[in-house]
Amino acid sequence: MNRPLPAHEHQEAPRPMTKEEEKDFRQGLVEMVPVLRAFARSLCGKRDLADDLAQETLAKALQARDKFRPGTNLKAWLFVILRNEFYSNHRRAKTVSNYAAAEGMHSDAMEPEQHASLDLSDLMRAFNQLPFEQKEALILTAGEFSYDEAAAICGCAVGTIKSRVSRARKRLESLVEGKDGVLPARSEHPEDPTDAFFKFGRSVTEKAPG
Amino acid sequence: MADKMREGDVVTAVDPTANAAGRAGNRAPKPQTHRAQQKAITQGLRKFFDSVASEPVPDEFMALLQKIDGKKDADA
Repeated sequence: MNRPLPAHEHQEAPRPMTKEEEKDFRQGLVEMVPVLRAFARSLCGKRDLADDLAQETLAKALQARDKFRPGTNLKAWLFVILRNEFYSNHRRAKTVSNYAAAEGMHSDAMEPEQHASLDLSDLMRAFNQLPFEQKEALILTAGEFSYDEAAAICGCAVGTIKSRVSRARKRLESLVEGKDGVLPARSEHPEDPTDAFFKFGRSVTEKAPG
Repeated sequence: MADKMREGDVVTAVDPTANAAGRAGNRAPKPQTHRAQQKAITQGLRKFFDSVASEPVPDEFMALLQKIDGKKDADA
């Protein structure tokens, strides 16, 4: 996958897509649903909220299809939209984050029945403790994208991605080893306020006409 | 410390590879172990990502997917 990275979504494409290009684009969207769900789940933990985020991303991408430059990296373009949606929901709902903390909501990032390995479960609980920008840097570079591509998606310098990845790995290592604080119990995860961001974000977007 | 080992000395063996699971307490991991852990973290995250990506797409996506397909295209 060495297609050139598309510009950020705000930038305008020189021309509308041809019929053929639009057909490819629509097919591409359908093919990207699984990875969009995975990226969304990585960022926001809870399954239903992550799936809402993935759907919002697809709807937005369909609406903004004339801004996509055919021949560039569709996955990267979609990831940019997804993280923009994520961060705007995050900002919008920042004020209610304390309610979620009080409710002590847990994360669906790792479900025991699907993943027998206890280590992986520990890893994902530790992962959920990381700041968002470290989560995305880790996930993007864990196989989907190069450091350069991840930097383009996040709109930051390559060095920034590298240092986020390195800090995140160090933190994960100490969390998993129990050296640096204790992992939250499986059933409660009150430190992560993401749920509230999305509860709030969702109620806002549900009111908006699709 | 002990330059020469004599017969009968009790040796507490510290095998650097034996601490891969992080049981070494507060000691800094050996570079070898550290690299292995970093690799395990990346692989674990990859495994998680792939496991979500290989889930069947939930039914709630169907309406949207039909819209994307252009079969039920309200906004095109």
